[in-house]
Amino acid sequence: MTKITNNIIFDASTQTLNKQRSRMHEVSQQISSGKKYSSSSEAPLENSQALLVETQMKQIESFKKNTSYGNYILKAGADALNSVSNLMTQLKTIAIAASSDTLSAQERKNYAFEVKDIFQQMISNANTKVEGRYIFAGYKNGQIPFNSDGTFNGNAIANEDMSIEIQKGVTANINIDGYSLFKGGGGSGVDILSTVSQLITALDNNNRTAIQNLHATLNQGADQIVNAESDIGNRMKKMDMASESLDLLNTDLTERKADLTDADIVNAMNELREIETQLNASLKASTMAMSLSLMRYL
Amino acid sequence: MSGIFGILTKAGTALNAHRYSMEVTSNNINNLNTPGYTRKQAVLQNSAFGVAGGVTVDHVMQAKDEFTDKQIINQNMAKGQHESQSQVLSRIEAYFDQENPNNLSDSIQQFFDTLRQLSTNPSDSIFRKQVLNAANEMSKKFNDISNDMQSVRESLNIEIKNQINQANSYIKQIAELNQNVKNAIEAEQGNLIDQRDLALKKLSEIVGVSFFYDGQSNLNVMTANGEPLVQGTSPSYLVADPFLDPFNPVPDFQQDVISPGNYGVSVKDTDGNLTSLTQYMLNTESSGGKLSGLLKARDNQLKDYFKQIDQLANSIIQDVNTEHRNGTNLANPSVTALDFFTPYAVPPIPATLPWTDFGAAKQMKVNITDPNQIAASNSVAGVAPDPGNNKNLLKLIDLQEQKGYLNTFNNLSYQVNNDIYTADSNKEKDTVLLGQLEKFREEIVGVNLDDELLSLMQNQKSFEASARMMTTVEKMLDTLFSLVR
Repeated sequence: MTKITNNIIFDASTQTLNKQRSRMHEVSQQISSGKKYSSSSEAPLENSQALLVETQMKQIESFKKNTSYGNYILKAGADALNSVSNLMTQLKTIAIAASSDTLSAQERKNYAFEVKDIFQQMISNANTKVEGRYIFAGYKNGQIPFNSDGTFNGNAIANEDMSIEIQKGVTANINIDGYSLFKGGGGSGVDILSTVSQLITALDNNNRTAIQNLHATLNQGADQIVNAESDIGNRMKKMDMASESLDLLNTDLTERKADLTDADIVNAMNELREIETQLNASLKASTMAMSLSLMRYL
Repeated sequence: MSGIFGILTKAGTALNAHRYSMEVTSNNINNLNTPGYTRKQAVLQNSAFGVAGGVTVDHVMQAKDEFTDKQIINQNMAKGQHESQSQVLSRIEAYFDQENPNNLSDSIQQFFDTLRQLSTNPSDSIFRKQVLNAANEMSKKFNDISNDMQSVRESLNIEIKNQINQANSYIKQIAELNQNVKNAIEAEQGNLIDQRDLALKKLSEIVGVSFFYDGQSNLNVMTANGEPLVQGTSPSYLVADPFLDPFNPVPDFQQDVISPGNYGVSVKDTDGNLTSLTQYMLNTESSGGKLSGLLKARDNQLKDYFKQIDQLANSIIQDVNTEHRNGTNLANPSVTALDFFTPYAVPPIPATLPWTDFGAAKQMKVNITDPNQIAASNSVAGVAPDPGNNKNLLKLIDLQEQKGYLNTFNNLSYQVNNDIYTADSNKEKDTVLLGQLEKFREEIVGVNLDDELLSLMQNQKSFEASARMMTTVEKMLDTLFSLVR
């Protein structure tokens, strides 16, 4: 039998009560903050992992901004090219109609007016501006890329990429190369704007042969635009896919972070009730143990 | 046979003995809650002479449990160390807490995210401003963390001094008590010894000590590595000196620009001479006590964190500058090789740097002031860059993954939190063990009120009995005297 001194009873009571109170504080803290830990040193590993998750989520947010911006630019490009494509169809129809040998010079002149109008519409589409940038100008997107006569001011390096990061280590090109698209890129491509100018001249001059000769080039030009449209479509699809996988990743990370740091409220509530009962019992036991003394009977 | 008067005298001594016993008991009751007090007991003995020898107090017995006492001292040393370590390190914890929205890793991520956004439209003036803001924010965070760690270190030096003063007062007390014990009569020694043991216990919380009792009932105390603190009645005091080690003029980390110098702890005798050739008696190797916890936190842990933060800051400064210098800016394209951050400069003092990037985090500052100075383009210097050219930005963005800044910071954050966690859980373990030991000790030396009350009653009854004896003898004498008329 060990001797139990007054100090032992006192110390034991204080210790038990302190322990229960601090646990109670911890649990009620968990409930009120919704967090598993009140300080990072309680769980160094979880804290580190949560830090990584947190920064990854921020990064995703930034990637999302990029994909949405990229999509915006590409969409504007696709819209412009869609109009251009319609204009090309009109041009083709006019070229065929104007090739007919029953047409008078005046009638061809009238067509010329119409084509001049189409030409201006084309130029205006090629000068599409989104948020202060000319999307067909390449790097030189601060200045108007196409003059009204169809000459080019923009970035004349064909196929120059303008890359933005859309996922970790994945870049996407948001450049729509106006030089290749409208001016043939100095290579095998069709210089659509010059072709249209030639058509205007031919119509003005009532030159049926010249008009006929332009049929093939106009068809090629129309194909060039259609190809570019489908290229943009593909790039937008890639952008969408990236955006979707970023969303998925974000959901996973949110869940992971909750796992790492969020408190299980139901458990915490139960525990709180348990501790309350314990604490009550301890308080009763302590007061009883401490008040019992021989002194009361002397 | 001593006759009837003999009985009277014996009853007298018995009265004395019981009264004395009562005094001891009442002292026990009075000191029920005195820290360090041990239960005393008057040991009664019958006199050696014959059947009617009577009773006297032979000596006052003091309950003692030296084995447990020694363990308590050791546990106390460990607890002191872990306690102070955890206290110090917790003060910088917030910088490494993911719940803190201002932690450094967020700022680093933010900086690279703004660069990424700028890359979508490199001529956008708002995006450019964003980059500058994020860079300033990140630099400020580095400055803050460095300054805070510095102020923690400075306050550590003050704390070390305070602890040393406290320890010295205990050392003095022990030496004085050694003298007092020697001078005191035996019966009073017990209480003095209790006080002395208590002083030792408190000292052990601050300094790692070992101790022994010599033949003249002196308590001799030494530091854990054997430097005497109390030899008999002469004390040697701990002193805190700014580091000036003759053998190592600029010990690592001790003398630097920012603080007036860290304190080293050495031991000096009463004449002010060092007790040993080795100047610093306590160092990071010494174990136990708050002082060693403080020194460890200062010279091992904080120093290491400091160094890693400086390294991280400087690598960001250098890497970003290197890429940035290759680019062309919008503001004035003919200005080439423009630094994004102010390059790290070696601080004028100390003469010898404790590490190569010393002070980089404290210095970190954005060099460019005009958002248009951000060199986004890779075009030829001197010619105004195309507004859409983002090639240099892409290289800057790549740095984050390539150099793994966040991983570096994350590792450090794990290290800091884990150090605090370890210190905390050690402290908790120490507290539990100490509680156990204190309970063992209490079982042997502690005062139980019921026991004492019982012994009080016992003494009272014995006293009454002896007194009754006297009255009886008196009556006997009366009877005798009545025979003579």
